[in-house]
Order: sequence, then structure tokens, then C-alpha cells
Amino acid sequence: MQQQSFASAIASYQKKRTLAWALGVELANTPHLALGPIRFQDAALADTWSQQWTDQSKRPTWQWTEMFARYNQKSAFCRFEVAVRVAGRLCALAYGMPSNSKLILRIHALERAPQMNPLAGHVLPVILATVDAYARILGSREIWICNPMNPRIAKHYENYDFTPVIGPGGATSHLIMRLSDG
Amino acid sequence: MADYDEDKATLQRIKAALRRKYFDPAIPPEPDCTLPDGRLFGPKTREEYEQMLKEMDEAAVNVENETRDGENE
Repeated sequence: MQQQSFASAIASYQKKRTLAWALGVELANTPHLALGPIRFQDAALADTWSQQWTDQSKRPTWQWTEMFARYNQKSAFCRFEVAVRVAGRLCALAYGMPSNSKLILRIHALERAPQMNPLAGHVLPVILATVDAYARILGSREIWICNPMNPRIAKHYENYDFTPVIGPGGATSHLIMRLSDG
Repeated sequence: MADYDEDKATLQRIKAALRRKYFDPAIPPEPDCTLPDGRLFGPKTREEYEQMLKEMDEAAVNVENETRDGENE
């Protein structure tokens, strides 16, 4: 009985993510765009992207495959996830997690493919609209973007009504967007 | 099923607002397209990564409670 209920809870969140992905596709109106779950092979492919940068200092610390394992744990069934594809080509990935109360949806990581990416420069609207949609159906009141990679990126989020929160070191620790009704 | 219909109705209601907010032609492309790193946000150091994992653990839903709620419905 308990197991059946858990299965239905998992299915319920999968449906919510599917609805958010569908809305993201509709709003983006980009030919051959598809949004869906992150598969292990997507995470493995994204782990190879960092090798395409010549500047080693730019290479990140996290591994998508490690995140995949973490976000697919039993306790993470209400996660936000999206793999963005255009004509079957993987263009970007993002993971996030709502707070226990669901009032805050935190986005922890987002990366786009560095090369041959038809969405380069236009990844954020697609993903943020999908995040926003998911947050609304969870009943969240805020979206947080954690650890923006640099000040220029942090500044760019202000275009979407995110407010930077400055950490003790003077750098932006995260950005907050409060969701209004309607 | 009721949840699903309610979710669909919620998204239908906010669709136009999301389109205006995120697909405003006046918003320039994100600057990452000019940077040598496609990562837009995420932990930059092991410390930040550990913090992220901690937040995830704190945020992890109490599975037992959630499924029990489902049973009560």
C-alpha cells in the first residue's frame, strides 16, 4: 500500500515536470525543440563538454553523472530537471530542487553545450520559463538561482526580475525571484 | 487526475505572462555565448558543491509524509 502510494507520488511529479516541459516548448516556439528528462547518457555527454574548453581554470568542479545519481535518489522525486534538445542534439541541462515546504525552488546547475549549439545565447529563456512553470504548479513563492558563474551572468538575470543576494565575500551568492500571482 | 487538471489550468492561466517575461525581444542574448565557459550557474568550488548537496539533503521531501498524505486523499 505504502509502495503504491510512493509510486503514485513519483508519477504525480513526473506529470508536473512533463506539463512544465510542454509549456516551455510551446512558449519557445523554436523548431525541433524538445524538453525532457535527463538520461544517464545525457549526463555522461555533458561531462565531456568541459574537456572542450582550453582554459582549464574555467572547468567546473561538478560532474553531471554525479548529480544524476544524486537527483535520481528516492528522496529527490520532486526535483526539477530538464534536458534541452534541438533536432535530437543535446543543447543544455539543468537540475534544481524545491525546499521541503516547496515554497522555494532552487536551481543548482545549468550548462549548455559549448559547440555546435543552435541555442547558444538563448538557453536561459527556455529553461527559466520551464522552471517558472514548474514552480507555479508546485505552489512555490520564490525561485533561487544558486552560485551564478560570474558577475556578467548574475547581471543578466536581472532582465528576468531576479534580485542578486550578495554574500560575505562581496560576490553574488544567489539570485531570488519572487513569484507574483497570475 | 484532479491535480493534473488543476496544474494544466494553472499553466494556462500564466502562459501569456511567462511569454512576456521570458521571451521579450528586448532582452539581449545571455552573455555566456561570448564566454569560454558554457556553465551558466552552479558550484564553482568543492565547498560550494558540498553546500549544494547539503541543501539538497535538507530539501529532500519527507517521503513517508508525502505518501501518507496521498493515502489520506
